[in-house]
Amino acid sequence: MAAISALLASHDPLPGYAGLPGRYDECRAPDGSVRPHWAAFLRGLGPDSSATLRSATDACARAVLEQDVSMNVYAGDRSEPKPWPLDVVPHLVSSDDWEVLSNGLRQRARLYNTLAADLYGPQKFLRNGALPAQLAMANPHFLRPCFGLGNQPGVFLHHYAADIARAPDGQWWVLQDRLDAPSGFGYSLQNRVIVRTALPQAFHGAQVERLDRFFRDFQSSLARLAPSPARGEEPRVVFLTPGPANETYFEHAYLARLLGHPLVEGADLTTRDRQVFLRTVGGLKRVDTIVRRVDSGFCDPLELNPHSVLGVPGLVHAAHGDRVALANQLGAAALESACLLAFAKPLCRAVLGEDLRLPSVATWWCGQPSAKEYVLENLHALVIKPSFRERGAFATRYGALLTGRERDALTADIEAHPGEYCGQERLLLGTTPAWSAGRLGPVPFVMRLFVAWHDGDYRVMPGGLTRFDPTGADAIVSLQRGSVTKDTWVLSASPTRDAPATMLAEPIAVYHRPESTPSRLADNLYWLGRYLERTAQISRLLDRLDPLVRNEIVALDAAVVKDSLRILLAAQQSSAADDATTGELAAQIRLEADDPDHPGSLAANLGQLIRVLDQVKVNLPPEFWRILRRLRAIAAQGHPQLESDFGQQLAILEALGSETLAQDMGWRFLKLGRRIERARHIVFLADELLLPERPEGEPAAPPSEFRLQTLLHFTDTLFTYRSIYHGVYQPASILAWIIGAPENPRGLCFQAERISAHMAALPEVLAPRAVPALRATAFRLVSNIKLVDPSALAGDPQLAQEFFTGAEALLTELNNRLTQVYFSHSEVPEAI
Amino acid sequence: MPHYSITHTTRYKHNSFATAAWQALHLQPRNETAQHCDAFELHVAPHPIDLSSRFDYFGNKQHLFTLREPHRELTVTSHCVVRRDEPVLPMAGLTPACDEIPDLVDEAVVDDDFALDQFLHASPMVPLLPGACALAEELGGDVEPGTPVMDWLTIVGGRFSQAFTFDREATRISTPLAEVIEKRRGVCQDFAHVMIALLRPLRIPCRYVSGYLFHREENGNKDRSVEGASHAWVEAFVPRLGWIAFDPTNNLIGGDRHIRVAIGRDYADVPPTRGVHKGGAESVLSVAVTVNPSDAPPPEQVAPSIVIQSRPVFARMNLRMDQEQQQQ
Repeated sequence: MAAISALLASHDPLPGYAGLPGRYDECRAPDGSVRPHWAAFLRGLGPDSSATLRSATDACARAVLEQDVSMNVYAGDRSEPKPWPLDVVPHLVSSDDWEVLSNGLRQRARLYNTLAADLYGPQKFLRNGALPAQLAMANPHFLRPCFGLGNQPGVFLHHYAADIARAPDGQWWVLQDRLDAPSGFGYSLQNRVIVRTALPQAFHGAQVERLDRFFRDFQSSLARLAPSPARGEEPRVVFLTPGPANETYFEHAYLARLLGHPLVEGADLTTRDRQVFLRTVGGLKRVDTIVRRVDSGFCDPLELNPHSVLGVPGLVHAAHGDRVALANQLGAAALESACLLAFAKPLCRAVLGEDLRLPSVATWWCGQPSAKEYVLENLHALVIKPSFRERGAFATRYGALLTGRERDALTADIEAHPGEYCGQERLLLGTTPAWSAGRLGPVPFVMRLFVAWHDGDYRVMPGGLTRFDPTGADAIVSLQRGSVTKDTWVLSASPTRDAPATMLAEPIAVYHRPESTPSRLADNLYWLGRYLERTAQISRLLDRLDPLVRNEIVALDAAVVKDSLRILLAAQQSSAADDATTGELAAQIRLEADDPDHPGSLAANLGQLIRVLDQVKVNLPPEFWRILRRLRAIAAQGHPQLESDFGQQLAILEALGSETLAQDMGWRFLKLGRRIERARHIVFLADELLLPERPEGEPAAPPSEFRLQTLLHFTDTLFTYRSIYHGVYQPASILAWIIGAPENPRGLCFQAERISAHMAALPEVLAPRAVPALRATAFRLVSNIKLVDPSALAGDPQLAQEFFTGAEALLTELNNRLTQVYFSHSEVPEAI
Repeated sequence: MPHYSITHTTRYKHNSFATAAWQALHLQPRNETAQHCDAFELHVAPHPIDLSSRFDYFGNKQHLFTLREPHRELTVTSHCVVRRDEPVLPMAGLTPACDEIPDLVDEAVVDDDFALDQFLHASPMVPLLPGACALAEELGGDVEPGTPVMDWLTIVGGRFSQAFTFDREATRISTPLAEVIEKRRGVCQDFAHVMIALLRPLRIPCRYVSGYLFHREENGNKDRSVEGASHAWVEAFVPRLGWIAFDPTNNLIGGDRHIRVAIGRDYADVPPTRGVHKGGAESVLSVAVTVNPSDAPPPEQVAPSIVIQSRPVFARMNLRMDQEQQQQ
């Protein structure tokens, strides 16, 4: 027995792993033993921990790709999505450590909330000198138009984040505070979802605190922030994002979906009467709470940065009113300044009357003469930062890395503008195990932890976003510069379990608001429908290219073939010389189809389709994402038409649109887009094929049988026609089938009737005059189609011309009025 | 105690229809000890759907409105009647010496008013420029450090107006300050900014004043600034004394011809009109200002009134910043 326990004690669960000299290691204690919570975790990996971690790493990478977890990396003016970097080994936080961290963070959140409200309100702490004047008065992030917002009821900081590191002595230090629009807690949850699936046994073996409670509280507290929701209605909460190019757009979409709030951009919102409204196809809907991920300074081009295209004009003035809450309130960026860290301790005393529990990394603000002297004397050992975030070109500098000349220049600068600089102690970051090159090794880490207001107090999310630099450097941990993240497991002293998916006790007054589809979303869905249909149509036409060139029709009537080829060109908004041969035409068609810069080409339409899909992706189920990924790959190959599954992917996309979406207003716009595009296509083909251009003076002739058959081919109605008409070809019946038959889903009548039905279901509030006019136009199209006599259409080119031109004009009018009413929100003049 | 009747008209003309517009205005003269705004009226055409006001950080009254009606032209007209007292000018010899200023100002920031501090640093349109320091040296480098600060201001101000030429063609709102200093040409807004850039590095708090000047020939000297536009000048804080107004364009100590509308760190804090609009493509801005002596105030009408005029049309959706008016 004794021999066995001695054997167990001597067994090192992590042979070969050692911390880095001079640093605190989370896993191995200075006496060489593995800390108990790590030992338990390693045991949970099973007998062959390396194999477990290797396969978990693969599972993790697959999940990141499958769930399309990404972040955007800025490269010059553009931003590129890249897969989310995630190390499968979680960072473990013991319950004792968590006690210290969570108490400290709650206190800091209270401190900054009070300070921010004071800075934008009574300014008591500036008046009594607790906050040095220059920290606010020279601070470019102190937004004077927001002055007064500190007097608003409710919290100033609804949520807050801090970057925290472990000093060599085991003490936790705050490196920086994120107050304005903190990011990362959505990614934390996503990390958790992936890692607990990749390491199921280890997760369930450890007593890991769950995150769901935090997010539920977060959600309910946002609704409660609403200052005065309309009677009988649930408060409307929106999630304001800078848009798809933003670094953390994935997270914005993820959180909005998780919390059930519409994800909106500045252009989706508007203000009037000091209130904020969401522009929807059902009119303006009042917004009660805005979860803000646009930096304060960019939120209102009227009163803040005038060049911002991300904001909402009038938002600041609305925030001063009593109808909208912002989480966080505008202006908190002023307190993110590095120089403020130098005052955290005395401020905590002055503001809360308490001792600061979680210290900031030692900071000296050069605006104080003694601090400046210290910084200049110790320049080699310190990190020099701008006092206020990201001002000018000056970035963080490491005294130790400066050349003699650089050091002299910096010293002169500090002497000239001392208030602009501060010095910070260079912390040797603590290390935690990470999986790299087939083994566990120590990496210096920074942990971002999150706090949110709920029910009268701040709550800390029991988890976090741990980041490290895979090269082992601890200079600046930044995801833009290639850092990797980890899930953060807060271990509990008592057993933990998932909370059951709870049903809300209180009934929600209005859950389903089908009319409140945001206008921009409706606009995008409409164009998704149009580009999808157009891309599919062109692709199907291109499928006919080879048969046309080789087919026996050539022998029978070469003119029809040439006309058909010209239609393939015209469908891509192109044309060719009169004397081009069949071979030349075919070559030109193939070349242009692949050219993304040729407007109207297959490649260009595919590009537009992908662009619109990207825009609406977050509103579509994950099945769409897979198609989107495949379409991107197809576009990247350069020859979409040659990809064997191209047509199939488009067909799946069409089917998904019909089968997986809620049939709300947004869906109607998607369908309207498709129907209008298809109707236009039918009219275009019929017009081009049946009424070919002819020399001046030559009378128009009734279309030949070949032309009618080609029309059946091109409209994909040959198969159905044959089965309905038992293979008898007759001009009047062909046209009856393509134009007038309500049973033909690829016929014009079918499209017009669907358009009319969707139009009838659209809301009227936006333009009480224009919407009935819109419906009347759709109805006119239906009746024109129903009234036209197919045999007359086949026999009288003049009548056919009038009919097609008229139908085309009605479709254009529908498109224009739809755009004006529902997307641009403008009532049309009474007469056009 | 002179009375003035002032009308300020700003007109935006768009080359196509704008569908919506938002404006923030600094047009109502300040009400304070030496100046009384007896009447203020605001006319906006077309009809805005809302109009409200609030005091800004500097205590200026700011009006904001929203326009939802498609329009090709937007006109904002303000009328006001203002009584202006002649400020009591200090005796220059009693003001502190230049070399005492930095310590006295630091004391004042800590003991009296932390907000003075914001007038000592770079602000949105007034960066801290080496060129400004060189100019300060050029204009006032030979003045004894023990000179009373008012005397220093008079000397430097006089040389400044010699060195800089009033030229309406030389600059626009967006011209960087460094270029103004290099060209030595500009309008009153530029001169106010240069003056601010001169004083702040010397630890003299200096702020921007937007307002109107009643033009008049005095002792054979004509004002350089132009009638028909709004005006701008600066105020410097002299410890133990308070704010002294100085008009660098006309080389005048601010007096009863200067009507204060708004104060700020620089123009960016207090433009008379600032706006964004949707659609409407390009816009052309025109401004007209008249300042007349008024013998008696007209009937009281302080609440803003609105002139109504409308016409519905449609247009595009993009958002643009309206041009801002240069203060001349």
